[in-house]
Amino acid sequence: MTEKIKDLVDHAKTAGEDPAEEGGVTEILLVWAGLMGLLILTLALHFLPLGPASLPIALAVAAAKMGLVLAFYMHLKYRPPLVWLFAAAAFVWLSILFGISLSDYLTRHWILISP
Amino acid sequence: MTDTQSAPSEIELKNPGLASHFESYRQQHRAATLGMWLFLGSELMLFGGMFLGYTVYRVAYPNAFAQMSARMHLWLGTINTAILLSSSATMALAVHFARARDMKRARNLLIPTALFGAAFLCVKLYEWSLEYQEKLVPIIGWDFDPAGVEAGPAKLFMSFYFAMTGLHTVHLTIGVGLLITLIILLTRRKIPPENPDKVEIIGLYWHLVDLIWIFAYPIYYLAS
Amino acid sequence: MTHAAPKNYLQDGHSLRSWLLTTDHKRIAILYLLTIIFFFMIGGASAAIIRLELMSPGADVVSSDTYNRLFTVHGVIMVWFFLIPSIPVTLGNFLTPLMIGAEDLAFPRLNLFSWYLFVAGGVFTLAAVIIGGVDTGWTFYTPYSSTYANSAVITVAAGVFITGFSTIATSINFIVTIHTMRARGLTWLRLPLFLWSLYATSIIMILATPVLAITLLLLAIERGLSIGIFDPALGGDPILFQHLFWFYSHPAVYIMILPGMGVISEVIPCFSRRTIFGYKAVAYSSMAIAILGFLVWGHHMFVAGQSPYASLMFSFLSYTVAIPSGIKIFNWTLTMFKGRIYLTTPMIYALGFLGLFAIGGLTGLFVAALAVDIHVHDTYFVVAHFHYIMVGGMVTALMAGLHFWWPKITGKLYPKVLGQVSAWIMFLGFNLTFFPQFLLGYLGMPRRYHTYPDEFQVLNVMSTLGSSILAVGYLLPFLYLTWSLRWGKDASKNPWHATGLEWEAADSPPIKHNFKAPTHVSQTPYHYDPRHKVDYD
Repeated sequence: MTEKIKDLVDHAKTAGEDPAEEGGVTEILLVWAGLMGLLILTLALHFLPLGPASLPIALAVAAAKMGLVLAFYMHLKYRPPLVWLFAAAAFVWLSILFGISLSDYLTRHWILISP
Repeated sequence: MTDTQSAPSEIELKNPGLASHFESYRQQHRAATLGMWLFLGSELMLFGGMFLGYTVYRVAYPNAFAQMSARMHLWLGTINTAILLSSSATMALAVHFARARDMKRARNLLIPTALFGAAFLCVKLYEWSLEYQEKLVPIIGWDFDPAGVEAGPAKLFMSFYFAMTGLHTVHLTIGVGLLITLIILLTRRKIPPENPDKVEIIGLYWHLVDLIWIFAYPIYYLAS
Repeated sequence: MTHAAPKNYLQDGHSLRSWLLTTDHKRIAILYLLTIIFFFMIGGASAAIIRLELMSPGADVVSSDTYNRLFTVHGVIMVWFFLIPSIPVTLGNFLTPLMIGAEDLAFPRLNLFSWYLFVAGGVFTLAAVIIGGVDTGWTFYTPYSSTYANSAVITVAAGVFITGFSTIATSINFIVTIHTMRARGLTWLRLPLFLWSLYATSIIMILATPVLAITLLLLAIERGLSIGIFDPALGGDPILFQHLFWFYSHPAVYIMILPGMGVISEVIPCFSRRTIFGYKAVAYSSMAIAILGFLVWGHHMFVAGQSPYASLMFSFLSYTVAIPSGIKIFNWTLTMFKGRIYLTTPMIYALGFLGLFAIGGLTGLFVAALAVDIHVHDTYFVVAHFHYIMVGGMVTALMAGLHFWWPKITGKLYPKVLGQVSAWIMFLGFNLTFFPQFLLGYLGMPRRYHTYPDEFQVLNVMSTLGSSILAVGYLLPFLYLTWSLRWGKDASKNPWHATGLEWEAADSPPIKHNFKAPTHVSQTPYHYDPRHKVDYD
């Protein structure tokens, strides 16, 4: 068991070094097809009367597209965990900016204790 | 060994494209990858500030923003999204071939990538000219016709639209310039097959330009 | 044919071209040092005129409009063109490869480019100053800056925008170098604490600076094209500007102080001849400051119109960010316990740092309290608070670092007694300048005003007097350090008997490629022994 873990760790350390391990032409074209499919999907969903949920749904589809580009085109799938950490950190910080700023805007007109 | 030698040393000849302060190609590649991802992180925070601005005003003026979004040129935006997604595919193929040491195919795939980029630019400029004619550009002294939508929030929407697509276009133009540089370098065989890092790094930048658009598209064109 | 000894990096090429096109991190550090000294003088000159004006209650030296431009120039130059670059681009650039055992940083040409970006940004800003300056305060609050200000806002914003990319480039270099170029045996937990603090600083630089860039860009667009983003007349929110601005500018203050803390972590163990107390706590607290520092920006906006519930949360989080700083102060103090203390010039500065930073940090807790801040916001209390940290803390640490590594950088020693005396002069001048400002602020004197009620004059005169003593405290090192370049005694490889690859494995000054042989590390850092006496002549 420890041998297996050791192998995984060693592999993770050297991941991203061998171009042959990364996706080939087929993978790239399949991802392209997936991206175009998601684009058609988001366009189709746009014409449905989804009310206020339409923008969040469109953003979710966008997130899926982003996931494909990040994992396959930008090779995150084939890179060591440190690179994932760097990529994730940016998103975490973006969410700090959004979350805390919005906490001001969304609570500005609350009155929890009446004067 | 003195510092004034200008002829390549034996080490440099045996390891073309390996900078002298690195011990191995692996170290150099790791450094280049980490460095580029850090830069991409900073770019994400750059655009993130603008996305926050948009979000704040969307929350404050949901109706005005939805109405303005309906006035955007949906088909032009969609075509542009398809163009950029496809350019990412050709870029990924170029990187794949470069890392497989097939520099000729890599160069050949960078050409459609750059062309896609140029096509995006053309569509975008055309779209902006349409918006100018429709009096949707909120610069002081220019006519602005919100056509029934509340003027203030309408201008806010358009301000963010132009600011974000403008900044994105600047990044895209820089990207096209980098691609053309790569094409020239590859044609002149200045990028050794042992170290195709440059292609991969510029590829990462190009994909970021695509990612920004992937999120800009729904918030301006699909927000109605 | 005889083998010529490798020349040190200073002798390797004398032409202007060899300096302006260098990719040697050590030479780039020197270029940066000269540039930030230049900017420090400009920022200092504006401070001098401000203090001159404030000697008397009326408006006798400058008009109110000029005064506004003076404190804006002082803030913009000192923050972006002195404090934020200071230690990272000078000591950081010089020492990082040396401490790590590498020949250079990961991206040497990017390093040179970052200096040119810095200079370009500086040119824009100086141009703005020359054509009349900016009167918005360094914080550029809208809608004044975007709509009503009658000054060169866009030019200054452009200068700061460009300089921001210099910062980002530097930070990318540091992070990648520390991750990928460590010598054999140099694990993360053996890194000098200076590098831990630089790493934390670099994280902040990468994640915060772009938000400043976009904020300034939006401000410039709004001002130039009258597109309303922060314009209340269009339904825009000026507080959005403040959120975006302070999201960067609060972490920016940690960019400014963390490298200084790193220097102190090197100096105190050396001159106590003891290993740092709690290495891991000090290392991890740097990371904690970097992360927590991003969560507190709203404490600059308590009275701006922000939601009181958001303010509550920001106030609470501001208390938590004080904890890692407190841990460092305890650990530095405990490092000296049962040590063998040597009051060399760097050590005097470091001890000064401990006291001044403690006061500055504690008064930060005062202003973090919502109710207190309503009283002291925009008064001299806040001014004193941040000057205690920035000047009493950061500039003192810069002096400590310069005096500690001067022999390594230049191969020369400076006059010992003159150094110690100057450190004391600086400490006394600093306290006389800024302590009265705490009192003034508490008594109600607002900041950014060039006139004040008569009863505040005594304290203001004390403050101005202190500033002239402080100026002497800065002038003396400038003079004797320059003097030492030509007439100072030659330094040995390790005159302080300090630990670390830069001292133990590289010459003073180092050769161009830093090390004559590949380095490797097998000991813990700070392997000092207080039982052994050392001789500092």
